[in-house]
Amino acid sequence: MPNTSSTTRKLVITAVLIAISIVLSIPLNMGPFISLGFIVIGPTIAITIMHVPAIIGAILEGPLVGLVVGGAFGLFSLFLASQQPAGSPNAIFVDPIISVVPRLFIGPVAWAIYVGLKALGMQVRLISSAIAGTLTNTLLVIGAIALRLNVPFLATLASVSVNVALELIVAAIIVVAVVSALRGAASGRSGSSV
Amino acid sequence: MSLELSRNILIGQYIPGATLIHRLDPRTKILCTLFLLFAVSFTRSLTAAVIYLVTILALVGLSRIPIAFVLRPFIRGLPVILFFLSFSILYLSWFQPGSLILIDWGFIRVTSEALLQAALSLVRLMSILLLVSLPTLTTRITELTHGVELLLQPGARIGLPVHELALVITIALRFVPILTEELERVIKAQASRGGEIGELSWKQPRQIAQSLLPLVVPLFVNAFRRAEELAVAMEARGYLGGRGRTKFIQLHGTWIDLIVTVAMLVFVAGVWYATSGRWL
Repeated sequence: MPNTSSTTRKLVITAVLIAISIVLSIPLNMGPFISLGFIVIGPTIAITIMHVPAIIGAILEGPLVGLVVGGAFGLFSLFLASQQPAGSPNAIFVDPIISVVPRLFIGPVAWAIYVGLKALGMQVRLISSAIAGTLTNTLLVIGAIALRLNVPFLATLASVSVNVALELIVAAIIVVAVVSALRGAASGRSGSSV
Repeated sequence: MSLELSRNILIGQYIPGATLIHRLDPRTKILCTLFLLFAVSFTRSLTAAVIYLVTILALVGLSRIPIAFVLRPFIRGLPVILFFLSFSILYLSWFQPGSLILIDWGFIRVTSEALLQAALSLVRLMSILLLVSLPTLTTRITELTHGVELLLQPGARIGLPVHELALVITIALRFVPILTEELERVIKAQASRGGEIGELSWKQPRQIAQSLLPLVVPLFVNAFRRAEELAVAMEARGYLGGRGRTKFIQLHGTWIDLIVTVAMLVFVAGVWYATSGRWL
């Protein structure tokens, strides 16, 4: 498979990653999987992988693709939040400064780390990039909440620390697995596709 | 455990037909959908939301798409929706003082205000689910792309990549059912090999992580393979982006389209105005 990155390719991959974001939020109702992108792990802990498409898009196709996919994810969460009853905790995401703006940075930050660590091994670059992208999402969203609702930043961060730790691990594993699988497919070492 | 995910999501599916709704100009359909979407999302009145929902159901009826078919995703999702709604009822009842308390069992408290909010939310969700799938159910994907592109055209003056945006939106919409089907296949493949996705409880985080990976990785890899194929196919057919591109399908809006668009806008705004400032 050729590995040249044309505009057409970038457009199509952006579109497909946005479609993946939508599929990740289809209600599954299977045990802990509320949807594939939203998993309940404890009575008060739920983690998300909704930001992973933006990271993968940025690593494979550059910061612009990551930015657009992240932005789409942000719009999506704004849209979902507008369906929540006014005043409930999730309804704060109707504010685009909380839901959209932070998500724009996921892709570019993940890309910068990935490109910046060129000297290191591929695994390290991918893991660092996934961690940077996930942290960007968490820290900027919580920062925006702290800013807009006047709540202490560190206390809010502490209240989600377990989620963050789990999200970092899961995001890193998925990014490494997906990107390695795609690179493997590109170099002709492909196994079963299912 | 349900294995028919494609029944849970209708976005991107097209059901051929020759009804008035099918024959309307895609621009008309997009605009009317946006009017209703905006109104339903931001109205604070339950009456208005119910009127909008009835309107949307009437539109579904006019397009001869079985109501049961379009409502299935909503009914499937109902347990999760109700679960979250009951949480918000408890939360709102506790933190919004000054409304009628219906139930007060010490820790558990339900107020009329919270119930109203939850009902509004439920009506909204149902409306939105119907609304987002109605345009793709009644319009061919190519027509929809042209419609989106033409509607965004004014943005081209300020440097918005209108053609690319329309293309991305349509390909994304088209890929949703394809990827859903593929996810379904992967889940079945895992289940046939003894994967127990549905039977896990949250007390088994390691198993959850282990069952997540074999679902998500193929989803991405298959999607990229398809994207690659599509990009190559587009380039092989000489796709060079929007500049100088002519269209095979020409959209001709008729006076009916104009009337429908204006009537919808007046209706939506009228209901909004009549119910503004009231909760019920």
